[in-house]
Amino acid sequence: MIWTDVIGVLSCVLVVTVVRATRISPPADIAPPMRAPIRVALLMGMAITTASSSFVIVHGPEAMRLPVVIVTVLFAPGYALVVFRRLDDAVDELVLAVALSLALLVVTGTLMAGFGLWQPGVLVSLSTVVTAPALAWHATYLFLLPAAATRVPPARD
Amino acid sequence: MTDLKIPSVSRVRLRTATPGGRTWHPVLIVAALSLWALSLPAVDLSRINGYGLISVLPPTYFVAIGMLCAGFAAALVGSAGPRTLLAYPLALLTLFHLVVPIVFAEPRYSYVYKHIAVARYISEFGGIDRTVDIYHNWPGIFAAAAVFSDVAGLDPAVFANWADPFFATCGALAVYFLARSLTTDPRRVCVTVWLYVMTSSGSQVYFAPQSLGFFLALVALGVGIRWLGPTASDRTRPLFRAVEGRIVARAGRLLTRAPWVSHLRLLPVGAAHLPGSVPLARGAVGGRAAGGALLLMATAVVITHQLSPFFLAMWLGALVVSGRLRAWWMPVAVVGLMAFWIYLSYDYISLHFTLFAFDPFENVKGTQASIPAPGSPEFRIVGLSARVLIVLIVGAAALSWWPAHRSRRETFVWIVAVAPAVVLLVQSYGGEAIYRVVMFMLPLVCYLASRAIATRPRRRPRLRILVMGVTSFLVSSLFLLNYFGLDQVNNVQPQEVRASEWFETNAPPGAMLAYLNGYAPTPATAAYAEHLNVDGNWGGGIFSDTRFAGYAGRALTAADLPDIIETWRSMSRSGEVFVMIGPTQIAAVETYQYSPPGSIRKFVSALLNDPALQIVYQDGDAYILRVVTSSPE
Repeated sequence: MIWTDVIGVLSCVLVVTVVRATRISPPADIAPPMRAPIRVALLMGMAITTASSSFVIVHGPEAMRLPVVIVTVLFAPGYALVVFRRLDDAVDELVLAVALSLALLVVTGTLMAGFGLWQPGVLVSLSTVVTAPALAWHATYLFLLPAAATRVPPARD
Repeated sequence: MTDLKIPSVSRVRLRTATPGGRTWHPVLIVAALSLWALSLPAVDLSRINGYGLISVLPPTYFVAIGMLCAGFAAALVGSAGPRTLLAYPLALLTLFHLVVPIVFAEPRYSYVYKHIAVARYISEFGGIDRTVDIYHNWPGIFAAAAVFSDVAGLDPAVFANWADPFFATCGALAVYFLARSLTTDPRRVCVTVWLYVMTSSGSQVYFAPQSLGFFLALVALGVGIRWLGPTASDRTRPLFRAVEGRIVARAGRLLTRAPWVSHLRLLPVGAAHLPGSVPLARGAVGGRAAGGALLLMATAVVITHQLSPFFLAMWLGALVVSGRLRAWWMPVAVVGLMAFWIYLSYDYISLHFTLFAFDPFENVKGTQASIPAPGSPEFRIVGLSARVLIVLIVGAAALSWWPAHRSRRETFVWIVAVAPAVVLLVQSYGGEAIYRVVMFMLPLVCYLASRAIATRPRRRPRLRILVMGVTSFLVSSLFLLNYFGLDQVNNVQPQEVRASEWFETNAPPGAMLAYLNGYAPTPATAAYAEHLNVDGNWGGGIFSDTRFAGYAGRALTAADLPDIIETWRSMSRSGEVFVMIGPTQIAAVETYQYSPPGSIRKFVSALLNDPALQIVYQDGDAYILRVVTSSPE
């Protein structure tokens, strides 16, 4: 289902454009305090990987298939949820993201198997359409934040 | 006015930074990992003895472990930062668990193959059949694996071998997440992870439902403690005061007034209302988001594993009783989800299992109780190492907690830790419940044990480094003995896997596969449902099926064959019987001493030469025999 990749990529572009233009920000209590270049690169990389996953799975080189599927299925869905909450710890964020991704995979996989509607490709497509724009939104928002030099130290726990 | 002593800047610097510490810790970790990598090519699996992989690991492997133990002790006694401290347990975990996919050609443990078969079934047929077996009634991890397999174009057997390091890492990071929900001290968090990596068994790190259930349940517990604890505003809400506040207060009063409880100071009185009882909420995750995440993970646990949701419900219930969870309906919701799922599976369960067995003394017995003999000397030592590890960590937790028990701040952790043991009142889970209870208790016990270890030494830091380093190395060695000690049985040979797949691909539908015991890598393919026996179960093992009760513990001879073959025939749906013989089964019989030493090889020889059995497949020392049907006169 390559068309979902087209939708995913277009959604990402649209989201980036809208966020850049309007500077929509999350509520102050969950907003990250500063720009984090590694985090921006990581999230944008994850968004691009997820948005292009269906194409890579079908037409991409064999060596790229496994890493793309791992990112799309085991990390991206959870990160798309977790990034909208401020956790202040990268490991906490990783654990929650993987747990939520696995939980979503288990629940949707069981639903598909239980109802006899086995379409793993659709699951990837859904992930492409939903999670890629969410990750792109957050990465863009983070990119627009003030750089670390002007940051205010985050409040201690 | 109190005269506060404020340390000077130079003193603070001395305490918080070790000159050069930032450089030599990463160097040490990289050196240990390099030494480990260099030691792997020297591993020769053909020389494994009764102590498993540990008998063929080169000395450099143990040197690498020793380096990490010494480095962690130095980092802890010194003033290394939390990232450095966390890097040590993660490196140790790599040394322990990444060995498996690198050294073993096939997925370890013969019982993994039925999990692979279910994932292959779902992938091939695109659905489940609740009448086939228990796995089709709790298909969570298999459905997830089938999705992953289909999308990635990888067979489940390929990534099943990597499940070990994957779930080990997930488990360790989940313990980190849970410990951070309980304390703000990063040293304690890292010590908890270190202890967990050294003492956890292998039962939660292979391709199995409980591995995923364990990981998700741990994270769900962490979410509950961290973000769903009672807040100051809760105490003013009418609903909280009317319902939860009253229940919690009553439960607390009831428990704390009981003489034995008040003596032991198990519960802080009115814990939910103590100021500072919720100091640990970190980050900005709202109650609804946290509740939603917890319910999503709980749902995944419920549809993945039979016991894990019970443990999760017990954990959450213990939190409610001790006033640490404001969402009192959360354990109720988990029990409701469990009840719904059992209702959907009831047709199958009622035919094959006993839902409740109210016999705690019987339930507490492990699977070893069914073995007729004490097992080989090596097996007994390996079993002892597991028990010593548990005693050590529980003892450390008790010793660590006792000096501070009067403050009652961590008493609730004990309550949550022991809550899973309630399952032993109602289920034995085929003798496995006791192992699962220990598995679910371990993270919290490690947290309790970390208290004393994580405190900074006031005197003789070098002695502390020495003691901690040596102790860590000894405990790591016990772990290795426990984890790799049964590899003569667990190391499945490729020829056995090929033989198993040959049977399922070539045998006519209705034919049954018989074997010595369950330590054969069967079933393994999506076609396995065509070969179930008359009971609807897989296979017929001489030492694992109740029909052969009289055979375990004595030497089998050729004279026993006619009766054995007749019993196998009676178990087959079509009357067709194939027999699988392989090195893993023989190793299991000898290790667990299902028959006297040396006798099983003579019996296997008799099997291979018996005219009633015809060899239809041979791959090295793996055989498939077919029971010859006598032609009617």
